[in-house]
Amino acid sequence: MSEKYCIVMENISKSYAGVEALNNVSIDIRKGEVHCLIGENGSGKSTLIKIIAGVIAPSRGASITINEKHFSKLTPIDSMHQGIQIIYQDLSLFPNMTVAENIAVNQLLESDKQIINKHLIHEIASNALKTSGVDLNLDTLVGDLSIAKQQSVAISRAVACGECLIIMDEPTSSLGKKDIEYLFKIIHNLKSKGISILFVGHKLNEIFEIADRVTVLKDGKSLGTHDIKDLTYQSIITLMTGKSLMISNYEKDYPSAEPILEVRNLAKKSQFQDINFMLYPGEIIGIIGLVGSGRTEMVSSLFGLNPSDIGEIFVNGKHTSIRSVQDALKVGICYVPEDRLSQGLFMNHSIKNNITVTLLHDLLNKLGFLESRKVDRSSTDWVKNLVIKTPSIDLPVKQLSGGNQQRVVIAKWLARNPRILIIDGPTIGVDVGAKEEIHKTIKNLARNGMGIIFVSDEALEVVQHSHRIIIMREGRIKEIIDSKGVSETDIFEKLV
Amino acid sequence: MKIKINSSQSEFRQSIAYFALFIFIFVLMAILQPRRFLSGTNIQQLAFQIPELGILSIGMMVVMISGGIDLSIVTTANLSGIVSAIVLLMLSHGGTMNLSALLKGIMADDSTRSALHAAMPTGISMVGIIVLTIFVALAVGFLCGLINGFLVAKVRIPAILATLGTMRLYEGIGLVITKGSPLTGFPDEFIFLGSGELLGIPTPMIIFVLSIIGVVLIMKKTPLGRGIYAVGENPLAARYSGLDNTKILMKTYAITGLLSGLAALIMMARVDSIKVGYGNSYQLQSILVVILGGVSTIGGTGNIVGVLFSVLILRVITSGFNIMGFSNYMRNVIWGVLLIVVAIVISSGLKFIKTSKPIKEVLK
Amino acid sequence: MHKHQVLSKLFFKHETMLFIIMIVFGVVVNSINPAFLTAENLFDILKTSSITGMMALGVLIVMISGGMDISFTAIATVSMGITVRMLIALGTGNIIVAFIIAGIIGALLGSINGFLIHRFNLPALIVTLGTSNIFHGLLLSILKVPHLYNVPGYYFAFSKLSFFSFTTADGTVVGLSSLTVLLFVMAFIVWLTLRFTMLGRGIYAIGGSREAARRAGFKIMFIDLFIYSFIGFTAGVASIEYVAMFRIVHPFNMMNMMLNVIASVVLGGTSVTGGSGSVIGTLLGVWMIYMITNSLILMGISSEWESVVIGFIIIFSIGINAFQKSLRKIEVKIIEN
Repeated sequence: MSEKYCIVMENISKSYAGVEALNNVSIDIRKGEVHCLIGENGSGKSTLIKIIAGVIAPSRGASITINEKHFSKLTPIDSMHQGIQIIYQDLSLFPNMTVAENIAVNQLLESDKQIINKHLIHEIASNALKTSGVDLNLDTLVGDLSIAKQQSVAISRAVACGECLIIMDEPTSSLGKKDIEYLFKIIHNLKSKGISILFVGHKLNEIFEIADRVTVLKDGKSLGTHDIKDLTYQSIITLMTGKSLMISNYEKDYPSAEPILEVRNLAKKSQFQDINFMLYPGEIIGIIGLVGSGRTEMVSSLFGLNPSDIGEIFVNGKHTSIRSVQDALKVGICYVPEDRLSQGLFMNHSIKNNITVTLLHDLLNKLGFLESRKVDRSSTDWVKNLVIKTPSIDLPVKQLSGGNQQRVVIAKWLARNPRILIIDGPTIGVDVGAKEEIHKTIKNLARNGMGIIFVSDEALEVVQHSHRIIIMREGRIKEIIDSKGVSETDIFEKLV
Repeated sequence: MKIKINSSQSEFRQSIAYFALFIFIFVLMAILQPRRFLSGTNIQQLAFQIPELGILSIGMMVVMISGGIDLSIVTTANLSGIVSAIVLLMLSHGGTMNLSALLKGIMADDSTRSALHAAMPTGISMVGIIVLTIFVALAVGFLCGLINGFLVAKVRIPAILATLGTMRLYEGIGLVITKGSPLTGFPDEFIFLGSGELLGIPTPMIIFVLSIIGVVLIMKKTPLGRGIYAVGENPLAARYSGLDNTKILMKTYAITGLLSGLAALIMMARVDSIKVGYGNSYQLQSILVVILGGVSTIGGTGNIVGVLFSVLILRVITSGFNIMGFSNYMRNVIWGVLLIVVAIVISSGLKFIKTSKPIKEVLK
Repeated sequence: MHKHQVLSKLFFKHETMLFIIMIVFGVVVNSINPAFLTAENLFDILKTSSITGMMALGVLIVMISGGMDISFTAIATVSMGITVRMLIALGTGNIIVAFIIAGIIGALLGSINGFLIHRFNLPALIVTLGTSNIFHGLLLSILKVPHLYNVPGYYFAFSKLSFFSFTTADGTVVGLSSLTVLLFVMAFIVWLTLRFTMLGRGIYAIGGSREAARRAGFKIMFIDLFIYSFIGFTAGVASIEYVAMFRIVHPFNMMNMMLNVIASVVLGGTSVTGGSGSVIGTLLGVWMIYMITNSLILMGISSEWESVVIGFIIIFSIGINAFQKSLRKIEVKIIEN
């Protein structure tokens, strides 16, 4: 094996309960390169990186070569000793300990030292900071740092014992533009020191900015490794989805009546400002912006979760004050949150109870008690409407598939018959087939007069499924455009 | 996608399991000590003793479903009982009693007690006094619970520590008032609540059944009840769903406090006295009963059937222990062991009852 | 965000604030009853609070790691009951042997807690509620006569030992009691461990994020076992200190100390959710609680009020702590989402 490679993996397979997570995947990473691993949810990305980190063992027949040593599988210790470190999406830091302690902890554990002192910790930490090129006060508590700075601590920690390869799992998912630049600067620094980076992501614009080579995974199989120079947005999308680029053909089929929602001068300190737009009945607006653009913050302010400092909101022409969720519900605004599992569902509760939780006061009988007939009827109706596959409305929601869970959350809010529905990330965690169905449902709702706003990360999604697109950047609305005739590439360019 | 057991089917199955367990324990006790266990007096005693633990346990159940815990239910009960006892005694003895004499424990003296009994008014005014007493007990319990709710919901102190603190606080207030001596000498009409019978059914049992109905109605049939389940299961999602977590939690602890006050009344009426420290063993037992009854330690799920059967099971075991001559301490040892064993079984047993996870989650 | 940062920086040095409050408190009480700030009274506070202090060190470790233990007073009572009787039955023994044996018994009992909590992933409250009843109940079931009034002289002799004694203006002899010295020694050891060993880092790490600690490679099982064994150990040692001071073996008195110990640790600034806490803060908390209860006596307030006051202190100190934290958390959550 030439010295060019840091790690070479061949014949990597892994099955869970009869389902193949990975099927004969091969991948190699060169020294000092930034190698991006992309693929949709369920493509096997996270399984692969866990195998490299030694957290999971691959099926038999796998061959892993690191620094000319051969393994058929790795343990976390093996991985660590070979200089591989993984930075999880949640960073796995200790908020109650200092920067220095967080950085030094992995190396200290590896070296099995028992007695330590501040000098030693500081020494390890400053060395790591020098390598990663990060400048931080060693004695600050990590919990007091911003997410971007916390991430640089996590990277420095990885650098302290990762001389060969650092795996980053979706590192940009919580970062704003400036922070992403900061991150990329650090990555370039690491590259120059000969450390390889395996960058798992899905935002194409970032991939193009940082990657040297790209490996695409789809349904557990590798679609090959390509030099970034040989790729375009279109070719990657085609690889990942199997579809070719589509230009929006969404027709404006709603009457331009009075706006159902009008937002003027909405602003909240350090989150968003100058937000002005109108939503018409039957219209679908897609809001797109990188995380940090203020989109989720702005949209939650419309739902009362994060009330704005200044600005006015008009619903059907009437001025309303939205300072709490109850206020929003009163005027018919509903919000389907981004993180369905933790923000939208009661996992151990039945489908019936999940759907009716927002309706409770409407399902009472004359004595003020919940009428089970009404509850059942309401739930069954919605299960039918949204085609939720289940043999019974009493089934706990945790037993449903991801796509059906999504539908339950949407059903919950549709059951309130909202005037305006805000959906954050409508198809996150949903496989391609279900995505189309969810958007079909949304379009049907719009046709019946509902005003819909959805927030998305994916340019393709907003281009294909909305009437107008709001592009947000750094807390402001950059542009509001008609989706007709627009392609994703156009959107990408406007985003950065 | 494999979908297995329907949840209401499994609920029914669980109820059968509890019923079977209860019958088993009952029969076991009966076999071990047939004469004394199955005697009329013993069964009757059981019927009188079950409601105390029962009412406290359903209070604990409500709190645990909301995701919290209330370590102060016994001291709340004691305090409610003490305050209402003072009201009862002062009013029922007209002007023939002063507060300081009352609190010095003079009541414990037999001759004083009979003398005061003789001076007791009877009739309709007594009913009014008793109603007032009941009201005071419930109000004090309610207030204590509300304070707990405030600390947990608004000040956001973890429930364990908040109720550990209030446990001591309420006990302290009770000590300050009574200096540790018991209050006793309640009028017969009041004692009827704890030792009498209506149509052959012990009054405390009637009260217990009424409270069960009340709690079930609230938990299953009102928005508040569904809100309690929601907050216990996922407080974040509850908030995102438009529920007012603070209000719901405060009402939850208030309900538990109210039930503690109710339990106090029954305790007072059954043994004709109230003192700081009464019913201390109920704290552990109520937690045991609720966990044994299938309520998750992290909240969000659970229903009353398991809890009720667990109350029966525990009382039957206690009764059997008493008959067999076990000391109270030995009994506590058994409760401790049972608590841990049940917790272990539930935490590892869940793996058997759980159905297969959807594939997506596994691959994440 | 900024407002709260300033607030929390103010309270940041919790220990300094507590120290200042202690001094102010002392001065105020002394003005009501000048017997308070006398050397005799102060050294007496130091001496009597050593028992609580010893147990508080154990509670401190447990709380930093984010755990909970309400069985330590039961462990103390059992250690005391077994050790004293065993040594009497053997006919030999001295105070050092007593400390060692009680400590070992306590550590063993505590390790049962640690094992159950770790192995089965059970809530610490439930486990220790159970074991508290099991340990105490077994002791009282097995022993026909739980009280013991005739203890060998070496216990009391130990408590009489004092170091650095001097004579005050009015002729009384005061000195640093051996019990206090023992507390200081243990406090020093705990401080060293927390500051200079990976074990100490591990305890803070688990308190900060158990999952991150697991991923980083900390030996979670070992640390869990250590934590609960340690609090058992300190409980055992404290129980012998109790015998030394009061010359009796009592089955219930130490049980009532639990809330005072927890209140001391919480008052000392240890976070109730884990991740932070200091030895100095704990010691200050212990002394503060004692000063309060001592002053109640000196001011002629009846002892029943102690419960009320302690209850208030627990609620108040945790309350401030928790409220601050939650304000920070909510803001951060919304912004990040």
